Amino acid sequence: MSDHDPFQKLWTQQTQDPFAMSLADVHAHAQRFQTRIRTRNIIEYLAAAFVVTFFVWTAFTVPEFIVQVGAALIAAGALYVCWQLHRQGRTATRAELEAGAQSWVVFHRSQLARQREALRTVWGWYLAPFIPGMAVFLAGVSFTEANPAPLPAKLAVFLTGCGLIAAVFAAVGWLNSLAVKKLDAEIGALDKVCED
Amino acid sequence: MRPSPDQDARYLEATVAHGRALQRLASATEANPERRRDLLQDMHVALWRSFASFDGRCSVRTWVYRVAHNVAASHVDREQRTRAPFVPLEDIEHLPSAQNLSAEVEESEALSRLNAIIRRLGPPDRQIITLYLEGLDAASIAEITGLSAGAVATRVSRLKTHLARLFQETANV
Repeated sequence: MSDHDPFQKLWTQQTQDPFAMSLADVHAHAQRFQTRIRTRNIIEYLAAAFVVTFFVWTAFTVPEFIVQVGAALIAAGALYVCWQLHRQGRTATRAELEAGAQSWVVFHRSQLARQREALRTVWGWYLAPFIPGMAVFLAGVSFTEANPAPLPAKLAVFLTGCGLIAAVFAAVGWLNSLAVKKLDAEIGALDKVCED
Repeated sequence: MRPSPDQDARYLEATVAHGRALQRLASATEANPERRRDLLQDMHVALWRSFASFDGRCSVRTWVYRVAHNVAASHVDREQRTRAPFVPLEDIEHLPSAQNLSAEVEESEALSRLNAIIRRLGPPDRQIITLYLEGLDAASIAEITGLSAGAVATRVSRLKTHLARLFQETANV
């Protein structure tokens, strides 16, 4: 490649605003990064703990057996989602630490693939774990003997609740599938460049 | 993470040797001054963190460029979700003209135009052109990007042609 390319000359001789980061600054920023990760994890655990506590408490205080089972299942689903979020967060952080050992193609592709996989499987690790608990909980609440409404009314309440939950889940799934398509296209373009 | 003396020393050596290259890459990646400074800080912190696992299997220069380009790619990836998509180099138009400018201002204007073009490039052209402009040969760019040297040479040639044509056209507007 030419040593006299005018663009290279323009590029390498450009004047820059002064930028300095002392070692102490770098240590402080790295520490802040660690703190941010820890804080994010703590928030996730607290959110999960809140959900789990609420539904476990419900399971012990509500006399209806079906509602108790539903609440216990929701609590279990929340724990599973929390573990998955933690696992995915750790994978991303590890990848960033290994950035220097990976070429740009390997790093970039793995980042895109990781995002795609998380979105593609969102049903399995984020939505589905809540479905059994929500369905059972809703059934317990709708068909409880304490509810004096006739059976068709109970059924209507149950089906409306299921429909609303299904609509929200379907919307989340649809938005994720759009993002997956975009990431697929990016990965495909990257693979094509590598094949050239 | 507890810093080791080796990690600190490697980081300091690397910033002395390549600190300005990191600044140039940040300029070509992010137009907003505040976000550019954040990006540069991210690059430095990532570089320091990465030296905890530096195993000497590649040169320090390759390592530094890999970390910097990977951080830049993640930054662009995040920004891209909220900004206009990339466009092919051939479609980039409407850049400011360099006509009737003094030499100093003209150089600054030319640099702005060059950075504007690079920022709108999609991956991996952005990576390739910035490494080429740093003066790296095709083999070194291939080692950093993971593309074949042949593919890099082809794309560099194409990018240079388009850059020259684009500059010529906008200068004659």
